[in-house]
Amino acid sequence: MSGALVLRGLTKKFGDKIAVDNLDLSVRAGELYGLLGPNGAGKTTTLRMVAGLLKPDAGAIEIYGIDAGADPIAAKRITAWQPDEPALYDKLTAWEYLEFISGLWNVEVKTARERAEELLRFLDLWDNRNERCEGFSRGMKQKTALAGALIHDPQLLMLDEPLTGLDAAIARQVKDLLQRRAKGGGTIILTTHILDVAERVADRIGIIQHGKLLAEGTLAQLRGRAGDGADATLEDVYLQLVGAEGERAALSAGA
Amino acid sequence: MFKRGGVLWLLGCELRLTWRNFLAANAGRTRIILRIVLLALLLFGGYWAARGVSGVAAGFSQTTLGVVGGIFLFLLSFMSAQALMLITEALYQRGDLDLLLASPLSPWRILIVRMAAIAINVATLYLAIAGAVFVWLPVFGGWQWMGFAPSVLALALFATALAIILARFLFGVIGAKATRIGAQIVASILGAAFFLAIQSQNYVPPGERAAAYRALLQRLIPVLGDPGSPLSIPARAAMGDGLALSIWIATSIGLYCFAVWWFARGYIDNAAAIAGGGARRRADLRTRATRGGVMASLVRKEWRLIVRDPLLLSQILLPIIYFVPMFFALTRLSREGLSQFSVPSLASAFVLISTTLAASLAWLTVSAEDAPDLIASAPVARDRLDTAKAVAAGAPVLALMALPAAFTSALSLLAGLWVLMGAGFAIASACLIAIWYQRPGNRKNFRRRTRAGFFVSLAQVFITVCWTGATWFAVFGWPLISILPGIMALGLLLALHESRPGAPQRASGV
Repeated sequence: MSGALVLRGLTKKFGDKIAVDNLDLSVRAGELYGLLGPNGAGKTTTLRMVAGLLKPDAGAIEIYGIDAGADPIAAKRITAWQPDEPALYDKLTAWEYLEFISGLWNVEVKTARERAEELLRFLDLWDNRNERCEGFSRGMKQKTALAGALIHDPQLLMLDEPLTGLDAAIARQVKDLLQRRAKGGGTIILTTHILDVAERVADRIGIIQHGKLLAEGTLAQLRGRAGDGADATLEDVYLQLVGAEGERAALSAGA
Repeated sequence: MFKRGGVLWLLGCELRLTWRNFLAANAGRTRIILRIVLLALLLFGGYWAARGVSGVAAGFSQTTLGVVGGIFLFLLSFMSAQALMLITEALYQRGDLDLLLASPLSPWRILIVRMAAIAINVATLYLAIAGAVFVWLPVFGGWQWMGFAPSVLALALFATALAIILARFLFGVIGAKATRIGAQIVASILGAAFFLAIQSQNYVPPGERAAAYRALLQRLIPVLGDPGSPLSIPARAAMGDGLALSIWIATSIGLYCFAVWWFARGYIDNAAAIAGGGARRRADLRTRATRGGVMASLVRKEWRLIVRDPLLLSQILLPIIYFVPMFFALTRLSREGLSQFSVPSLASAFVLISTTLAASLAWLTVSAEDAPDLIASAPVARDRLDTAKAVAAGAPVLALMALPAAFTSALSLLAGLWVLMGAGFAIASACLIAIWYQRPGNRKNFRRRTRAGFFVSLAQVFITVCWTGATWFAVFGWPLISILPGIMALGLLLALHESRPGAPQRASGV
């Protein structure tokens, strides 16, 4: 597998606060990568920089060989980003929303219609396609936004807490969909606080804290890194790694 | 009442929030300096007003009471309009209302506090003006006017009560959903009522105008200025009659309590209906094939969002009401045989309207984007996005202007062309300024949208004046002179372009 996303020395500051600190990260094509970390660790800021929503203070972002800093439009063309809060237009219907997104990404009309139908049917929204988003439940909004992220068939899909608000059956469908896309060669990065989800769907997991990559690898590799046994869950490993780093930070601050 | 959960405790919380919002909205050195200048001007004006009114002899002459009563009537129309707007906002943009209503406090207590906060909000501006006079009254011995400020506060309570009753009436007659737009329209008409009434004089032939005034005053002053009439109570209260002041305050509080009580009775049903405002609505049963492409998609999206929000549409279009007096005046000029002035003025008025509409729409399309991250993550250059949004805002206004242009063409063919040209420049200027000085906002806060800053707003007004002036001169038959304001407008636009801030770097939660 080649590098779908390569981050080199990525740094972002907000005033005095360093949100992302000289971050190096590489995600392979066709990989489902779970990005984990406590609140305020820098996950969302990292993804927002990759999506072209924030300009890094330093470092480089490469998406499928495209330098996102030099050619952001080309990078955006093959990328999709779904924030944790679905970005919808209340007064548009689900169908119109997808039509709008496909217009932005310049998807050919016939292809867009076919994909929209396929996605809406898969996500169980077909019967609601002509309803305005303002009347949708949180889960329906989440699904509509996901359909929007997939309508242009992105090579790199970034999802921030994609399963929030979904019922168990749909959450399962979405997980299957993500795994299927990854198997088909698509690259997916997802952030989640539901460690159980990351444990089950992610090929590799990166744990980020204070804007730095704390540990990275498959679950087995992370277990080894944390010194946990083979039966340790991701939750055990995560708490071990994040907790140990927290203690180290406190000790160095005290010294 | 003062204990936690009591009426005064709740009112304290409301006022603290209002005060903090005020502070947040007025932060920054320029704004503070402007407030200080405004305060100084108010006090200066107050000084002369206090000096003038202190000389008015104590006692209740029919004329003095009539004039004060007239001022109160004028204020009542404004205050009721403002209160109606605020009540509608408080009910529909619920904010923390759901949180409060979910608490174990009685809805009656919550509503009485929320509405009292509205009354205080309504009274603030007028109290500030009255206060500037009030502080000078002891200096000039104008003790007879010391009741003015409490009377204004009571008037605000009275106006809020009327607005509550009106809102409740609208709920009952046209339903909770339609009330949102209905209240906006009623409030705008109420607010403009006084101006419209004043302008009705233009229908009276000039020779008969003085007589008509006299007849009107002769009818009004005895009603408002008769010391024995209950209608003179507010005026007598303002002029220091202790008994009248007590009656006026008691009446206002009584009406206010009744209004809140009546409103609260039906509130549970209305609240359910209001909360159902987001019920699923089918826009269209067919999935139509539409043209793709960035420009088409963006423009279509913007138009759909505006057209499907009747409240927003009414807020954009209602300010046109305030242009009605101008048309009265222009009609009068025409009738008086001064059409060489009225046609250019009419043409300029159309250009002015087009700028107002374009600026509002451009703010919506450019600054009030609901999904800025989505748009920013699209593979489209920023310039193209901005152009599409400017087209979405400007094109409908220009199309709308075709109608008045055709109307003006009927009077003078060339005038119609000048109108279209002037409107075109004015619309383009408004859209460009909206793009250069965009500030992220929420379309739900359209009425309280953040402007681009004092100097930019001033420049925008000046540019508008330049384009309307250029149109006036061109239609009047002096097209060469119209070049001058045109150049001034373009120069200012250039200056605004050069001093525009860079692309906003969105702050993000880490």
